[in-house]
Amino acid sequence: MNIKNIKITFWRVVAAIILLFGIIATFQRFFYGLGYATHLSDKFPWGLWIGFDVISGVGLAAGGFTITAIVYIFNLKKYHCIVKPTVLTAFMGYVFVGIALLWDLGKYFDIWHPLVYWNHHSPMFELALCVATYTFVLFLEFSSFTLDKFKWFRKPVNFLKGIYILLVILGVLISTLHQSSLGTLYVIVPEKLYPLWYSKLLPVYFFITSIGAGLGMTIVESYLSWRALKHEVPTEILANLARGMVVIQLTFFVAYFEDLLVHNKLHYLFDGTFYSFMWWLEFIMWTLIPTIVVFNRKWISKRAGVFVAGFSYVLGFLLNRLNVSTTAMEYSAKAHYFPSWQEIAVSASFVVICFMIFGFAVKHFDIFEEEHSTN
Amino acid sequence: MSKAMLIDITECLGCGVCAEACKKENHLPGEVGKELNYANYTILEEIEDDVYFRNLCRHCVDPTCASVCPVSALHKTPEGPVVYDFDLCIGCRYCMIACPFGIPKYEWHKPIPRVRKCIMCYDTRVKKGLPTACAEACQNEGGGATYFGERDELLKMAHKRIKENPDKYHPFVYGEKEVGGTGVMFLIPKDVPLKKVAQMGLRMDLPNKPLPELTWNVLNKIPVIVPVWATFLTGMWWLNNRKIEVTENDGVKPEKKSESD
Repeated sequence: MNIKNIKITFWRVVAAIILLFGIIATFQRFFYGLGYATHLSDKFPWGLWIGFDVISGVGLAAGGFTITAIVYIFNLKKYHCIVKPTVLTAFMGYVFVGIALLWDLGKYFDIWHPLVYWNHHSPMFELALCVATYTFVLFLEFSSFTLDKFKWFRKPVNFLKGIYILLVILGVLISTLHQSSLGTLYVIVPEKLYPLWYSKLLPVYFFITSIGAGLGMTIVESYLSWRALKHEVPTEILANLARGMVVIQLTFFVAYFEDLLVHNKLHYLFDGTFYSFMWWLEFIMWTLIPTIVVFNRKWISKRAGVFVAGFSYVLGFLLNRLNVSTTAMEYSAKAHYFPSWQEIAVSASFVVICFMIFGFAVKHFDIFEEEHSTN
Repeated sequence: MSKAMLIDITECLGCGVCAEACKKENHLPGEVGKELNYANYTILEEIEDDVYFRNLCRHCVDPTCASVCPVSALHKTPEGPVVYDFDLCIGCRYCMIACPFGIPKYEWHKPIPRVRKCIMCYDTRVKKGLPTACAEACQNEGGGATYFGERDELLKMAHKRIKENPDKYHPFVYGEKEVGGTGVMFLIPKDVPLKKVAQMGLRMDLPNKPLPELTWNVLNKIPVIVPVWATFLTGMWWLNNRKIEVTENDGVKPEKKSESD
């Protein structure tokens, strides 16, 4: 009991310190500007706040559409127990992507402009529109199983439950569009992105790997809430998610590798540069380790093994998105970028806040409690 | 018709009156700098002894920056210049990422920053039919290297020069075809290797097709994909639900739906 208390206190202290730095950084960013608070420059205009908070954040929140599709469209009902936590994390993820964007946008108070001033030629516009709509869809999905605690909401909640399948299909459609749009952002810079990461198929790659990220994050979340709050999701269910994740990743990897082959890019893998090193690191984390773990019967039948596969994938996924947005762009920018402490503090603060809200919701909204399937 | 500029690098003296005139015209702060930034819309860079390259926005025929801007804060005017609307801009800086020439710059030091780039003196001159400040200064006080006029006519003039002096110029007009054509074009002296010029900002690895086509070829698939994907997903849902119903009812599809909660 004592040990547990100390542990929680330790993490609370860490969280408080991060949040404190986050607040100072926030003050600096909004009062002195981006140039003061970040290491961004004319040569390197997109940094951690785009690469991590937005591009990776949206990808890691992909569990919302992945799991709802598995349960409601493909009707694999045994995965129903993880719908609530994943929809919650997805909803939270999207809300925070929107909020975090305020730190990065030069004119943050005009963040709503893309919803009014359309430019349908811009992938960024499509992204903005989709993320806004999908956040609303997730809000409806989330409301449908949290608000029925309250009497006044019974009627609208029952209505939402009635049209739930429509929300799910709409969610998958919009997710397909904006998960791929994150890749489309970089299709227009063939001369700037390092060849190992540039492909005209980036939108397809981003979409496929976002499914893996959704599954990976679900595994990681379930493991963490089991550790911290003792909510049990059967290991076999999570192991199956890991297997699905690996199958999707291998499918992606074959397609991606073919692209490298066709465009004669294989020699970039062995030229010993920093880029090739980052590529191999990425490959090991999101393809090699999960594959090895999943095909080892002993490891995949243990909770820790499943967690390693999921966590390794998530880290590899993060690295991939940061490689595209940072490493691969450095190649042409002729500038080195490493985030300032303010950028790191703000991003870390958002992670801390997400953890806190998730923990709170798990405790107070019974999100892991299995409701007996009625639809 | 589209206004444009032609810069004959062989005629440039490197005097810098263009950059000074630009500063004055656009009320840009500080002295003339050595790098493009929020206070310098155009600068001169020495390629080699007494050969100067003038960098500025190319006012592309199909501008990448305008295509990627989510709110159309950057747009191409019918007269040719690519202009910027601060009121629309949200400060996402996608234009800076996307521009193949690295032209848009940002006011990093300001709490509410603007994107800054050459707008070809649109409001103060070109709209009224006057030449740009840099071209006028160059013709009147400088070496007379920058010409302002209709894009077609400038191209004709450039090709005539190449034809008449094949030993003087590289045999192409930079900006005629690059990324679908640009509104600021260059004649490059033959004794300067193209490799050197490429390092300065006249990249030789750009496709002749406009870059916006790359993303448009992805985005225009959306109306095609959505109905197909929606049909497939709805179909899968129907199929899988039916399968469960049939299994639950001993292999027979029940006549009436008797499901409610």
